[in-house]
Amino acid sequence: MLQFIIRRLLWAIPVLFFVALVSFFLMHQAPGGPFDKDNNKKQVDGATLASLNRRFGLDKPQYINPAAASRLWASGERNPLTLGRAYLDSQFFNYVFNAMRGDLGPSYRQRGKNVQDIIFKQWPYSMRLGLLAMIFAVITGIPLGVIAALRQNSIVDYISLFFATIGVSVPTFVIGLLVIIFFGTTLKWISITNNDWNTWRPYLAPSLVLGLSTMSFITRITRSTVLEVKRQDYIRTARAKGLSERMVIVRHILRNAMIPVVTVLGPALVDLITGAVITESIFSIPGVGKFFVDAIFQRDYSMIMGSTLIYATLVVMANILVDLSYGLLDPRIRSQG
Amino acid sequence: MPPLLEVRNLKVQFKTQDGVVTAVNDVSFHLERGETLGIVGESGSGKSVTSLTLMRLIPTPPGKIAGGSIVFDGENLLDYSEEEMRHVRGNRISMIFQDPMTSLNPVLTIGRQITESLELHMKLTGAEARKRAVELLNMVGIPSGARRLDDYPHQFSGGMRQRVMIAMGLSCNPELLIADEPTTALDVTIQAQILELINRLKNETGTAVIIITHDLGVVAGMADRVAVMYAGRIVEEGPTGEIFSNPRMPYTIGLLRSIPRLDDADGRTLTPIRGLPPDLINLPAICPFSPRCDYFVAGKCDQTVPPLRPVGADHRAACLFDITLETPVPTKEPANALA
Repeated sequence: MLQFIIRRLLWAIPVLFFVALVSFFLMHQAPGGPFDKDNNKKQVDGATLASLNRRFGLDKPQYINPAAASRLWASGERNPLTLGRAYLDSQFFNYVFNAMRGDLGPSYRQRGKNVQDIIFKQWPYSMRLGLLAMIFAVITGIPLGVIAALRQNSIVDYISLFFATIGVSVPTFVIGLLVIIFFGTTLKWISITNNDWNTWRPYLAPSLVLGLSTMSFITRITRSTVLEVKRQDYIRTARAKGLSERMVIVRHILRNAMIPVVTVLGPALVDLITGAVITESIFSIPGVGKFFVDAIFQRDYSMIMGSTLIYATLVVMANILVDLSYGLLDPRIRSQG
Repeated sequence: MPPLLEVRNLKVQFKTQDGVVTAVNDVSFHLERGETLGIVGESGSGKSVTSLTLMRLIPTPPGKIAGGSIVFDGENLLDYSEEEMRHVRGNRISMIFQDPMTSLNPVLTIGRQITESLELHMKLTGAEARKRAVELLNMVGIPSGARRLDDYPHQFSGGMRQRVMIAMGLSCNPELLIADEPTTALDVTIQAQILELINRLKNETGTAVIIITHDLGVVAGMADRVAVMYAGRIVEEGPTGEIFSNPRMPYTIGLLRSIPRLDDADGRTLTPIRGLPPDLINLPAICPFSPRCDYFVAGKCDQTVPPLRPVGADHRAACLFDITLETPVPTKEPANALA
């Protein structure tokens, strides 16, 4: 078990490296840079731009720096470590080395703030919202799916299909606005402005809105896996033992049906925590989603890289958790270590 | 003493998109205590549906028990409530299924799967049930049962899993054990071991057995009596020796002619039964085997459904004519053979 966790954590290193490489590459393929001229604002003059670039290391080559290495070689340096470091004295590798030390760099656009300060300050809001949305999605989605499957083609099944289809197909901003108009403005059940996001109450409505599509997704997956498990031979065996319907469902159907459902829960949770941009802006929650999107438009390189890496780390962690719980549910996986 | 099980005029139907399938049609048979009955038939002949119906395990809908009675130990199971039926299943009647690879729950230990019915029906506590489960595993020939209780099905081979299934089936000392193709999914060498095991346990425990198979060889070694099913009906029934030495229904004759035998003279050709089993939707009221029968007589076989009639001591066959193994096959091809 411990060996499994360690192996998976070690695997995370190359994964994160390649995520960093790909996002760095894509980010630099997009035209422009963090200190571009914005025609609507005060212009940055050439000298300032050059000094800004030097200050943030953007004057260095993007991936490798052979020129620096050969300069050192010419000056008589023979230590391979020093030479290697000079060879990798580039924007990408400097970022990677700093990130490995836990320094995600300064934000290029928000003066005097580090990326990790921004992310970790906004983090708890997104985390609370995402977790609540996930809890809502799981505790309503799974039972709905199970009931729909057990009463296949009944009115319950059709009603759950109806709501699941709505949940998947209607965009969050439509549902979010409807909720604000109906429950906020008309019924005045929820407060829209001046919310204290350090208490749990204001999160209720946005987490329902955010969790709705995940809930619909979970409902449908649960339904289809329960339907499949229900037809298995071992369920017939369980019935032939004289078990009551409740015992057949709880002991034999659910545990088997949960295996595929659990696999989607991990990535879904990460999605809910990091991908709540629309919900966060509709309900004006100060989460990370908004900062991420702003960073992309502003070419705030270190902010983009930092958010992407944290997102990737979360996905890796969530997948390890999923695989661990998978092993708990399915003995066939467990024995393979 | 009344028989342990008496099935009378059982009829089971399934509603499908194409129409109503009558999977079991007017089936009657009986079983004495401690007796072994073999039910033989090809795929789709209704033998498995018959056995599931005895346990009332037919999914309803689409299935429906349309008529008849299943009198077990003097009481009609079809009158039982679902709750009463649960006390019969796994307790007084238990069942072994065809594919041991898929019939055990992959996420529960086999110990849990065996103790489940012990706790339910025999009201044993956890520890007692585990003790009994070890005994059962030893009884079915799984060595060091205590250690294997906490293993999962995937850690057992196919033959071992079928032994676990048998241990589960016999755990509550049932009066009737239904084995639905218990050896079909196993290697031939394992088949023999499993059949021998069932035979031995049957003699030790005195439980009655219904063994369902498409393999006449299995029946020959196991059953006291044989019922041959075709298109949802029993078409011949009698003592095992009689069925093999003196079959009286052309279908049974065809089945016997189509199996190879080691003691045959060299050069005997195997004669398959031509054609396919009939579609069970809207079956016309004629002899169901008549389109494939070598002895078809126009104007007779296509007029009525032949009833089971006595053709010997405790031997009944559903054929209008007295055909035996010696009756020469008419050389003239029946007119509808090409139809």
